[in-house]
Amino acid sequence: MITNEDQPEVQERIAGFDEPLEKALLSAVRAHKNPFAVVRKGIDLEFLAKEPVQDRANRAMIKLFTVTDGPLRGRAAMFFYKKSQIPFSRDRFSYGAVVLPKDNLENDVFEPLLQFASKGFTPELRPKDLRRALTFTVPD
Amino acid sequence: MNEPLNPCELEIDLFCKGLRIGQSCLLEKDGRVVSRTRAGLGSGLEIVIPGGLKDIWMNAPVEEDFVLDSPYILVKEGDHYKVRDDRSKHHYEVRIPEEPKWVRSFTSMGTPMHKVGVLQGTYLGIYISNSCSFWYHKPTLGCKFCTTGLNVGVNEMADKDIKDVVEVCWAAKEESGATFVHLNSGFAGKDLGLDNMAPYVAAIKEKVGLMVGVQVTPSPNLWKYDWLIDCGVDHFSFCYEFHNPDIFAELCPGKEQMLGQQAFFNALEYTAKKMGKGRVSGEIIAGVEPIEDTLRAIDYITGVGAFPTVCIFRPTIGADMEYVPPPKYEDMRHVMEYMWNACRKNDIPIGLAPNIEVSLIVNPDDARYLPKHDMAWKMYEGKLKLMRTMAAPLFKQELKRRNVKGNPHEYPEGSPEPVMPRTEAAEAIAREAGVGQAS
Repeated sequence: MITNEDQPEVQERIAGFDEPLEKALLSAVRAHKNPFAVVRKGIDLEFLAKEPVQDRANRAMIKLFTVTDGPLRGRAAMFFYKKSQIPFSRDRFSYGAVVLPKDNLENDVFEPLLQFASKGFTPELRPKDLRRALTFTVPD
Repeated sequence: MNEPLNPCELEIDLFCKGLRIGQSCLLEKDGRVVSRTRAGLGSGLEIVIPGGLKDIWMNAPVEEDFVLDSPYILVKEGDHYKVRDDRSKHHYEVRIPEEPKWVRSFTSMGTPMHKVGVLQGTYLGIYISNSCSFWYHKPTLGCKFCTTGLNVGVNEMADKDIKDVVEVCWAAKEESGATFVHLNSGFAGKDLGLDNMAPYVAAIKEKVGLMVGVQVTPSPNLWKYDWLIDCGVDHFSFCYEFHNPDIFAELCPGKEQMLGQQAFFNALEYTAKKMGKGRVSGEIIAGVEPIEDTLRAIDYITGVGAFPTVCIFRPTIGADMEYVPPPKYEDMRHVMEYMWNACRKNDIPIGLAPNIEVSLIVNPDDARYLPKHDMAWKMYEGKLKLMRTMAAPLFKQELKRRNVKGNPHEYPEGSPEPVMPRTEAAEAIAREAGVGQAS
């Protein structure tokens, strides 16, 4: 479910994500049993997982983006990361990325990815196609 | 804990428990950029704990989840920063080192300097190639505590250009007074670690004039260390992480499968013999393997004439070991006091080189605060003071630009054909060099 979809500025932002892949992700998040909030900033579609982990706020974030360099250029990918806890830090704490299939994007493609984020990126739930060392640049 | 901690004890406890950042802090204005680069240990906040014997530089954990439970909080009162212990209500004055201006500058090729190198304490750390091959294996062979592979393309450039490296070294020397640059790299495959480093080392010696340390996975071709020394290397360090061979194999699967623990011992012993006491270090992580193994590691490292660099285990974000709890203060205090005593017993010269403070570890000379200040302590301290005075002109010379003897692009004439690790030929080289005590 999306926890902040009732807010007008979030609705406006979501309306701008009208590519088939973006729509598929939005639909998968809406249908998911655990809560996610749409991130209000940035060019790409991003969510913050809201399911608490070990009684603490979940810091897991997911970002849908297009690879712009290297041999996978042009492919869509999902980046998993946590934001720094320090207000001025430039760091994104990467947990890796999954390059999404070109076709047949059903909800079940996203399910393990969303579950991984819901549980705070616990190593036991790492998606099977997770690339932990990246050969491309993830845009800010 | 009713008595206030001394500066080294505070350093150890902060490594174990982390530091929360209070609302009053203005670190974006007062402090250095917090950035996860290299293996992930430098992801904390750089602070200086002033002390009578020496000031202590440390990189305090601030990002990891365990930090949220820390009793320590950084607060700003007026112009001063303090670490407050919420248990005892003790306050400790600390200094937040300023961010050097060059960090926000660009090289002449347009590369942001902070993506080339970072100051970790007072030395410059440069990860020459961030592409550790262990991370690209399926299944991954990366060390379980490490996050190196997670930074490429996210926080750090993958490969550094020599021109960029030279310019950043210049800036760090001129503007920050850096005296030492530490070059390291992940596993390059095919025993290319030292080969890749040689041109950088020579360029820094010839164009900048800094002391240069190199840390790469060990080479079975021990003659390559002689070559690198000719190219200008002042210091080698060997990260073998764990002394217990079973734990080494389990937590460092790439190092175990591709190199073997013995390769680290061979290279450590060979270079320590070659370069003399205190020029080589063995790097280990304390707080994961049983303490007895860590103490054995310290005895071994100091016994061969090297100095121990002991990291306190930090469950960094994104590592396989992220959810392993950090070690206990009492255990780590014991380890660090033992380290200082081992250096004393083996006459290891520590703290001689000017302005090298490594913030990621408890430096051997940070630990001088820990033992009883008895006669043995005073004698060793007196000896180190004398050695510092005597060595000062040598270090001054080392900080001048100079031409190097070795050709960084070619092996010396008559070099043997390189062999691969974990082969009979590699073992024969070690036997011939008379190294391999640890086995």
